[in-house]
Amino acid sequence: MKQFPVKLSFSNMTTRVLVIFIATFVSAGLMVYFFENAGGNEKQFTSIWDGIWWGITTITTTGYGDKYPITFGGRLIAGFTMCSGIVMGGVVTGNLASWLVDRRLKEGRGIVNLAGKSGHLVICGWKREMATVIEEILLVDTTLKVQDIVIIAPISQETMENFKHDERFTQINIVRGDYYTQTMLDHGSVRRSKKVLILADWSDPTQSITSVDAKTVMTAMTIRKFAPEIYIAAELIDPKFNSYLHLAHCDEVMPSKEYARVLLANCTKTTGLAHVMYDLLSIRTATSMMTVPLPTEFVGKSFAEVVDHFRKGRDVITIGLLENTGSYLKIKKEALADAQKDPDTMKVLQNVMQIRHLKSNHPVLNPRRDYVVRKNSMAIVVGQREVV
Amino acid sequence: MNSTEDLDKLQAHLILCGWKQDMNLVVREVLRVEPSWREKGIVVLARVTDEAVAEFRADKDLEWVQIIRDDFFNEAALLRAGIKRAGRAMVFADWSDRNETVTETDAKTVMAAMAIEKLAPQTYVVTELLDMEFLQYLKMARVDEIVYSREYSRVLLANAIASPGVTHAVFDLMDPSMPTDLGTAPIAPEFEGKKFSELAAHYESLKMICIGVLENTGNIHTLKTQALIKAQKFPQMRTVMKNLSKVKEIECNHPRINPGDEYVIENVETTRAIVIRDRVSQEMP
Repeated sequence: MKQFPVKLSFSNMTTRVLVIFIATFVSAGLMVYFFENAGGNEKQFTSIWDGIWWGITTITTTGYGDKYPITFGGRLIAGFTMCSGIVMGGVVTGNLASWLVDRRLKEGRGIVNLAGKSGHLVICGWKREMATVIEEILLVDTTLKVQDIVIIAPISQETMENFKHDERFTQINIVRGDYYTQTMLDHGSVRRSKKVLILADWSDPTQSITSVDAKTVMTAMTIRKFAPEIYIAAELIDPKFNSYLHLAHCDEVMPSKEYARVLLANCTKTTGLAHVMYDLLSIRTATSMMTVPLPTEFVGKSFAEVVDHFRKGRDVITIGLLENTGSYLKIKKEALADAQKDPDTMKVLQNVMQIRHLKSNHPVLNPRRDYVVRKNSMAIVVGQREVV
Repeated sequence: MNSTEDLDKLQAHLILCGWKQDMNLVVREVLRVEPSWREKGIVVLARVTDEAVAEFRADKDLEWVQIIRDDFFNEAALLRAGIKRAGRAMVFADWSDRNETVTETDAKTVMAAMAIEKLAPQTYVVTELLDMEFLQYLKMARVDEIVYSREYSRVLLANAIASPGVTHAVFDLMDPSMPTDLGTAPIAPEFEGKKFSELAAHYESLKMICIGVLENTGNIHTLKTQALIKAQKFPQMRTVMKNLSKVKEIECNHPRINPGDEYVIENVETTRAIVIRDRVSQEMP
């Protein structure tokens, strides 16, 4: 679906009017200052600033009357300034009102450009159960507000209106269009966002799995190209596309279909596993599994110390470590810098080779008690969300 | 394709009710997780097209899998698959017919669960559900375990935002090719009445991490029968009545994740420890 979003800024007309407005009161002020000083009215206009001040009060039609011209030239300028003020005021007010109405209309049609937005979450793609997806995201991430979410999806206006009709989501930002194009991603201000979540958009059932996954890969690659440090989490249907997402340095890949398959398969072996998994992941249960940032002082310490840190007084169980967390590019840069610190050239080469195999968000579960915590690691814990 | 004789020979086998788009991958995954099903046997009961069967049969490694082409909620078909002798039955949310609605798919799952409950209440049944609204019906059908597959993917998506990397950890815990596994382990009788902290310390000494307990593990029918016998052992009528009402409320396979150090372990014969362990140490207590 192709969209032609219109840039939502003040029009050139308004900018021009503003420039003329400023130029008028400044030049009028200067001229009045000279006319009045030449005509013997220097008591009222002691400096150029007095002239400019008079210009502002006159053009805005305020008219304090503290300073006024008495010479013919000064009065002529005053008359011109007064008329200009009335005309330009009307133009500015009209443009402002039209800009606000235009913005409102475009928001309603999902063709906004949110280029100035920052620190937000971008969701690429649409799901039939989108309301529940957003609801769950907001429940899990309590720091996130509805207005901090930007959805880029090729949905119909009707779908968007129905979605926004729900009072919980009226403030959500929606950009209608193909989310894998750079133009649309720019309109969603992906460059300045905190995270991007790419959904396996199967809202059109006539599409094949390959087509859905190909779009996900294309989106991840496009984002990586112009925003290399943004955290990208992508949902995949067919795991064979996994390698492409790794090539695009996607930080987190969720092969949803494979996940369901593995879970179902595990249920044929372990009794009760489905319920355990649900309780571990659901936000509606008291206790869940989550990742927690580790204070820097834990780098170089043993896993046992991490376990004790979370257990004491908080009843939180640490089950492992998540290594290479954060932006893939940043970690790679850091690792490269560290690898080159070794004076032995052979070792440097070896270290550089190892970086190639670096996996972002790599879980190390149930490690040995003496396992050493590395840089950019997080703890994987099981505990109450509020406590953690 | 399936001789009645062959089907009659099967004991403690696995019945897969319904069809998935990539059925051979599903069966392969089942075997990867639990290779013993190869010896015990797998029966697939589903209304499928010739092409789908031919595609499945093209996988020579799965030639031995029995396929019964019938409605999986049909009692006669379930009996033919040997539901009474089966070790476990899994009812898939069969959405192979894309024209079907989610409600129709889930309704078929509920019907199959009810039929199994009627024919073989002692058989352990796992069902896959798409819409949580059908949960109450499955509970009424006394299903032992429910997989909310759609809900899981939604929850995973939400977790990817708040807890980066959790989805990778979850996947690794279930992938049989990974060194660590999430599973359940029996609890030794000496832990009856002891605190969760003691149980956790015990598993820590075995290089496992105990993250909770799974109460009332197993088939709901068997659990309730056992609980009923136990409840009636008391001489006081009032205690018996109280115990009987408790039996009604039994929720099978109920996890208590990180219940706190002071949590007291009860009914060790039906409670299991939820542990994270190395796959090689799985047979340890």
